[in-house]
Amino acid sequence: MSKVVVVASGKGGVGKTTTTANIATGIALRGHKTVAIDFDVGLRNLDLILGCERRVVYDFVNVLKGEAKLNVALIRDKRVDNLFVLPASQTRDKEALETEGVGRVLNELKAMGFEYIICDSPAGIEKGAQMAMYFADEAIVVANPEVSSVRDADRVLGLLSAKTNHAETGTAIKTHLLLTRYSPAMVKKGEMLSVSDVLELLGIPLLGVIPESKAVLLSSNKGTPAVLDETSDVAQAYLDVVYRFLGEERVQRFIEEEKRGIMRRLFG
Amino acid sequence: MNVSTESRVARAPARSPGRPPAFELKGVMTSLAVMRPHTVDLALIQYQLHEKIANLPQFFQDAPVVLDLGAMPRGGLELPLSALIALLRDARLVPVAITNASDELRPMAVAEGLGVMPYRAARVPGRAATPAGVRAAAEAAAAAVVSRNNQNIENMQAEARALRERAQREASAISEGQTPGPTPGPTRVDSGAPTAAAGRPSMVVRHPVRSGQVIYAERSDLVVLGPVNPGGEVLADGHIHLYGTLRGRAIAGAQGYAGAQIFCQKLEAELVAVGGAYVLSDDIPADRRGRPSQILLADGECRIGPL
Repeated sequence: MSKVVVVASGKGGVGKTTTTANIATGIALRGHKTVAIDFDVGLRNLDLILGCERRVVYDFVNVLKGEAKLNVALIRDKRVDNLFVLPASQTRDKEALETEGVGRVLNELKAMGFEYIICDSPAGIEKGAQMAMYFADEAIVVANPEVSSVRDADRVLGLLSAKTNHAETGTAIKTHLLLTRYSPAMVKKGEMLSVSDVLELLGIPLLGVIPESKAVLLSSNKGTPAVLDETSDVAQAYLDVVYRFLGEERVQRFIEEEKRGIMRRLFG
Repeated sequence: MNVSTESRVARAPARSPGRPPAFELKGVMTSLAVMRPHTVDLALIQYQLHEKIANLPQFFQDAPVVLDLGAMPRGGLELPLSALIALLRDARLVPVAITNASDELRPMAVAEGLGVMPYRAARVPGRAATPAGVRAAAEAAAAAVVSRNNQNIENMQAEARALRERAQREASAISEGQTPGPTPGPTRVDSGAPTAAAGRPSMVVRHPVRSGQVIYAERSDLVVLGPVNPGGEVLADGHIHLYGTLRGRAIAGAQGYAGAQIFCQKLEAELVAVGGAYVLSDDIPADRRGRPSQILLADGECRIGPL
């Protein structure tokens, strides 16, 4: 049984690709055969974050156009078994995506035994984003605790409930909210929307909160998803998210400001 | 029976003080189908009319129709009026009056048994009477607020003047306890469809209305159980009932029905409008913000009161 999951946000720069990389890696670490697909045709990024950019020969668009076989275009991750990447084309544009071809590739991936197919949506609500969400069974909506991001997330939730295969056949997509770049200290000072503010507006279940952290930038630049270094709080937060996504109970963390112990205050 | 009635009528002038009035004569706003021909091609009109009637035959049968010639050059002088009237009667419509017509057509209309209605300025499509018009007015109003250009707002308020006159009349009718039973449909402008919404059930939306979504309850009331989020928009030709927080826009009486109201549990709207008059977020009184409220049209203005 395969699940197609779209990671979407509407707004750019909120952490879709980071989230895709970490969740796909985390699910694969749990032993599920997983593929991450970059739908951001023309602005290829996912391969960088996953550290496989030098191994890209063929891409998603090549497969859609029949110029390459799917199993040739798929890149197997060297660190994590069960993790595969289907990179975007850097030279084409979103018009290369069309419903029939995308559906065919997704079905082929299902037939190859992939349990989780994670679609990294481009920003915006245009064709690329619509193609990424069209066949999704579940959606992880990524937002920053900031009004414009929340409004864009709301817009995307509206599209998810209307412009997807599920919606057109009268069933609902399961939606999850992931709040990234969260800073409890700023919330406390009233400079950032709180988790409850965002939840009240969007009204969908909270999958998790990812704290604001330099670790994200470092791991992106290194091409090593944060979850592979379990010590950072971002890794912990994303692993919690993965467990919750796979149906396990985890208490929400990183919502309250952390009490700094005396040792950390002295030496931190 | 007849005899006694006649005799009572006959005696009435002498004894009229203290007697109950035999009838009321009132100017009421009622729903009428308005047909606005855009062409003198009667064959085309006939073809498209039959198509429309085929869609909703029960609405059209014996429905009174006003002929609005405002879209025709020279007040419709080139239009074969008698033939058009005959065409409508053949289609089992009841043409009752002409409006926006050239004065020279008046004798012909009267000879056909039609009344002549005064000019109806607010009926021009694209004015505040249509949902699009309300939206356009609202967007323009938002722009005007940004530029702090009050003149623009006044201009737009002037645009809705005809509607407001109706509003006053209807508001007073309602305050007299003559609340309409089934929501009367507003007068249709372009489509020529008849307007009585009698018996048309309310539209119920059970999901949140999210940013970018537009819900329009055409010729009926609208009930929304979830919130209306910022950037979301709900419109109804009748009333709007909102059980969640209203953070987006709500437009009741979208086709101009001035008796329409908005009822909401928590008012944090970007804009509320009733029958063409609107209030922007900044102008919502502080004591109503976040509270259960009702919005109605009174004295031509959009008023917000406690629920």
